[in-house]
Order: sequence, then structure tokens, then C-alpha cells
Amino acid sequence: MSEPIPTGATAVSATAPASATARGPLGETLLEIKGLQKHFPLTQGVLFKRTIGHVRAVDGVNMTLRRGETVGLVGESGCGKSTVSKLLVALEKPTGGSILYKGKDVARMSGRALKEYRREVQIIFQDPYSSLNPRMTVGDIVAEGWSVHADIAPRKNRLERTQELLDRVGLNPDYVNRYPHQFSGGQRQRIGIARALALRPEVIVCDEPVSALDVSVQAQVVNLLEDLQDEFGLSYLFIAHDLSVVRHISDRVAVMYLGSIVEEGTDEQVYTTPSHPYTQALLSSVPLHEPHLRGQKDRILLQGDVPSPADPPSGCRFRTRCWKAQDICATEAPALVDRGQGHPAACHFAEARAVVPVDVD
Amino acid sequence: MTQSQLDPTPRPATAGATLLEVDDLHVEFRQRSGVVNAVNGVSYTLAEGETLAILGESGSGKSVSAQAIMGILDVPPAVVRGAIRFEGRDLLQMSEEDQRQVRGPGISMIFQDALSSLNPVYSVGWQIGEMFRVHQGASRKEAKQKAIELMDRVRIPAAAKRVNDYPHQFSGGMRQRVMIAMAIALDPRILIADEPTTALDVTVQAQVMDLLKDLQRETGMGLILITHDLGVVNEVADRVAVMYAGRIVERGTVDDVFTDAGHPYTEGLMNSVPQVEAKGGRLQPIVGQPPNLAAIPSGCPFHPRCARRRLGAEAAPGRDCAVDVPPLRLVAPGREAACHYSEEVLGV
Repeated sequence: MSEPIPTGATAVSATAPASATARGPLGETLLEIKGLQKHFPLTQGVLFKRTIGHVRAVDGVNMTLRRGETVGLVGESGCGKSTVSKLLVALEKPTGGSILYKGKDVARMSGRALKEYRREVQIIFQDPYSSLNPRMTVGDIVAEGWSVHADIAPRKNRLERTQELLDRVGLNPDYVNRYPHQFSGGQRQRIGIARALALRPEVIVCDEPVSALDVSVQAQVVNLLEDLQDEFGLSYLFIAHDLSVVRHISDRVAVMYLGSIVEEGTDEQVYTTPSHPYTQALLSSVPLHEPHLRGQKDRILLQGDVPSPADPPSGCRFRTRCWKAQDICATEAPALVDRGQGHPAACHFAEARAVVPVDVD
Repeated sequence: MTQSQLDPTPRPATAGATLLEVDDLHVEFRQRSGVVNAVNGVSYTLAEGETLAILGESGSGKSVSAQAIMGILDVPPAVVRGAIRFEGRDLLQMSEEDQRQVRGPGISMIFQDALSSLNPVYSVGWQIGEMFRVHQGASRKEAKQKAIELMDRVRIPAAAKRVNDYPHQFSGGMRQRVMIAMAIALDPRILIADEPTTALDVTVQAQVMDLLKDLQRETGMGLILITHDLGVVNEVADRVAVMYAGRIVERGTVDDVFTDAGHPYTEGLMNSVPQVEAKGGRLQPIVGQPPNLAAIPSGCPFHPRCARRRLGAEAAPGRDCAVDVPPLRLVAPGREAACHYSEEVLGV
């Protein structure tokens, strides 16, 4: 697979839309993911386990994340987006490819370098109910990271720092001794954000951070994430299945299907001129909120289900559900390159097609 | 609360006779710690061939009111008051056996989580066929044949082959189709769909909503769609009732409500949701949290979160948001809202 986005400084300004620069200058490349793979072995037998195959959860993902920007990663359940997030925070080891952080290969890091990487790349999980320890107070949860990274907060000022953090994420600092069950879903997600912020990270991987929240609370958390990004110059990898939220928050968007990225570009490119048939189908399925736009959408109904990642189709992975599929699609996997539509798409017959009507209001 | 007989909302052209009238429905749960008022005086009607969306966040009472219609609340602790008239007969005044006779073939319901709604140890064919065996005394063979026909109707591919498969062998979207097959087996007049696509991916959601609309066109059943998704409401429903803290705060046609909200809560919801059509500016969330149903705020339950509230001296006489409960009233032709200052929200 070829490199999706040029990483040189001159190319950055060429691909960056005005909306991205409004949030702050795009800086150096922080994370560079090259041909990332994670294959989980499928085993049979109890005592003598034989490997009978592999689930190709992530299969050749290329992506870059620069300082101060938000990259959205969208895809449906089972496409491997959460595995990417686990690989990034070193909870799983890749079986192939590499993750370069500030130019250094994470897989080769150990000792102090790995510890530093884990501090600088933090994660916020989807479910604020199961990701917070019910037996720890909020203060302990937020401060826990400092027991490993003691140099971040001097021991005597920790309570003060914790309260500052709670205040910053919009929680009452007096709640420092309360337990997670005393908070609502939105407040718990704020605790998770404070916990991630406590270690002064550079990058935060947000794995479906607002999916479990009510609509009115979702917006509060999205706004908080945007404010924190401006204030601390954070970079986000924002993983979600909600295409509207991803468009709102992201500078660039990558669409994932069955372990690989099928299309990548700025939010404008991907949403107004989607070029991969899967992106088009995905966008055309999103229900619109405006009555006057109802029925104006180009509906594409996909047939069938996503194939098993243990036995993906040959060539292009989307070909079994694609209306454009030809013989070449079964034999040759399409590269993620620009075929004249202005941004890379992994389809032999990529062609820009607007499926979401433009709201003139 | 407005009497359902006087419901002024205009019917869409396709709608027929009134199937269901819910009149001043109250549901409370008596607990040791106090009384939780889940539904506080909800009224609505549903006509043949019509789709009514009930829109609300978690804890708004949208699911509990539907469960009261289905009679699947545990009584006690739940206490149900009011009237639920199906084809003119009040279900709450009937014996339990009579209720079962009416609901079984007349009203059915599908749920958000199809996997936990299906029995994992019986094949899907057996579970669909059960409807015919129990309600129509069909033989096993007939029931299985009818199950295959139904699976075909809900577009499960290779139905004859898959009829003996178990729920875990189906994908999420296919499981929801199995649930729909069971729900429409006896040709109900009303189908209640409680967040039917929330657990599904967006491409599968589109398939399932299409299926529900097609089935509705074929059978003319009334559809009550319970959801928190504004987009689904806009694309599928004819009318919408917005619920907050166990009350309907706004009601009207989807076109009207979505074009110009008449209640500050509806307005807040619209502004807080990002849209796929445009990147949009900064989101404008509703401040605060949804209320605790054991301690619903006085006056208008939305007033602590409302940007347009008027309290004390600011308020018009008898319209203090923290004191006076706003009734659901007609605020524009075909539009009802439970807000003292709805005309300001509408900008009329």
C-alpha cells in the first residue's frame, strides 16, 4: 500500500483546509503509522493448541497525525478501528508494520522511552461505566498516573492539581472524594478526560468517547474536547461510528472497512466528494435532520453483511458488496492513492460522487 | 393535559381510523427510597398507517410508556394509571387474560437489543413459529412453514436453509429481522419499535428502517417509533412527540417541529447535534443533566436547564417557570408545546 498523505511541510499546507488551520497551526508529525497489522491467531484444541488461521483485525493501515490536529477514524463495528486504538496506546503489539512516534519505532521502545511514550499518548474509552474503578475515589482515579510518572506533579501539590483538573473539565473540585457511581454518564466521561489530561499528554486517542452519552450531553463533551485541544495543543485520533460527530470534530477523516483504510482526506473532501463506493454507501445511510432535505439524498443500500475478517475476500475487500466490482477487483487489491478525485481512495474505479445534499442554510 | 379526543394535530393523508388512544397515562415506581415518576400524564393517538415517533433522552419515560401499552411492566413495583384504548377498549380496565387476547394479535413490540430478546437455546424458526402454535394452534410443521415465509418477508436470505439456525449464528441486523418477523407474524395493527436500530451500524440501520416502512405500507399497521435519534425521526415518522421528564413537551408533524421548534428543549436538542450535511460551527449544548425522576423540578421540569426561563418578577402572572407547570397547549396550527413562552421560541 502506498503512502496516503505526503508528510513534508510544504505538502501539509496544500492539503490542509482553512478549517484546520483555524484551530491552530498544524505542526510536526507526531504519529506515523505504516502498514500496521494486527492478526489474532485462531486456535483449535484444548491442551495442544493449533493455529488454524488468523483474524486479520488490522491489515495494512497507514496514517499520520500531526500536532494540534484531529484525525477522525470512522467505520462500522468489526472494521478494526478499536484495535488500532489499542495498538496505538501499546495495549496490543502489532504483528506487522510500525508505529513511529516522533520518528522512533514504538515496537522497539523499552524502559524509559516506552514509559514516556505511554505518558504522552493517552486514551479515553467509550464506556465511562466500566472504565472507571468503582472502588477508587475520583481523586485517586485522576491522580493514579502520577504514582508511575511522579515527575509530572510534585507530591505535595497533588490534591490541588487534581482539583484544578476536575475544575478544568467542568466538575466541581469538591467532588474529589466521591466515587464514580455518584456521577452521571457525561460526568464520568469528564473524569476519564481529566485522568488522561493529568499526565500532560501530546496525543489523546478517543475511542468512541461520546457514543454512550445522551444527545444533549454529547455536545458538552465534544465542546470540552475542542477547548482542551486549543488550550493544550493536543492531537486527537478520534475513533467513532457516528459520521456527524466525526465530521464536526475532525480536520482529516479516514474511513475504515474490514481492517484497512479505504478513503482518506479532509472532512470536506470525504463528505462532499466521497470517492470509494463504501464511503458513498456509508454516507448515504446517515439519516438527515432537515425536513427539506428529506428524499433528496442519493440512497445506496448495501446488500449482505461485512465478510469475516478471518477469511476476507481476495483483492479488494469491499468487492463482495460493491456494485462496481469487476474482474480486476478480485485479483488485485487497490492501492490507497489519488485517482484524480483530489484525495486518496482505495478503489480501482474511484470516482467522486456527492451523496449528502448540501444544506444551503 | 389535552384530551386525546381533541387532538388537533392534522393527520397525514395516508392515515386512517384511530387505533390507539393513550389518555393521561401515569407510571410510577414505588421504591423504598421514594416514588420514581417515570411517566406523568402522557396522551397521544395513533392512526392506521401512521408513524408516530416518540423522541427523548434516557430517563424521559419514552420506553416506560410503551412498556405500559404492552403490559410488560412488573406491577408492582410499577403503578399504571390513565387509559390505554386500543380500538376503543381500555386495556387497563380488562382482566389480564383479556388483555393478553387483545394484545397478542393486535399490538407487538421490538426492542433495541435483539440478541438478548431472543432465546439462545431455540432455533429462530421455532421462536417465530411459536406465535402460530400458541395463538393459532398450528402444528409444528405448519408453524415452521409459516416461519420460513415470514423470514422471506423480512428479507433474510436463504430462509429455508437458515430456519433451523440459532440466534448466535445471525448478525445483528439479521437478528433484528428475526425479531421483526416474530412481531409481524400475527399481522398486528400496531407495532411498537423501541430503539430498533440503535445497536446497529448505520448501513444496517438504513436496511432495517426501509424494511419497517415497506411492511407498514403492505399491512397498514400503525408504527410507534421510540428513539433518541433526530435523523431517524426526520426520515421515517409522520408525527413526533418529544418527551422530557415523563411528559410530552412538544407534539406536531415532523416537518413543523423540525423546521421550527416550539419548546426550548426541542430547540436545544436540534442545536446540540452535529449534522452530516455540514461541518457547522461550535455546538450549543443544553446545560446541565436530565433530571432525576425521583425529584423532578417544580414548575416546568426543564426550567433549570432552560435558557429562556422566566422566574419571579420577570415572569408573566401565573407563568413563573419554577412554579407553574406549563400545560401542553396549542401554540400554532397543528402544534402543541408545554412551554409558557412557546410563542417566543417559535418567533411568532
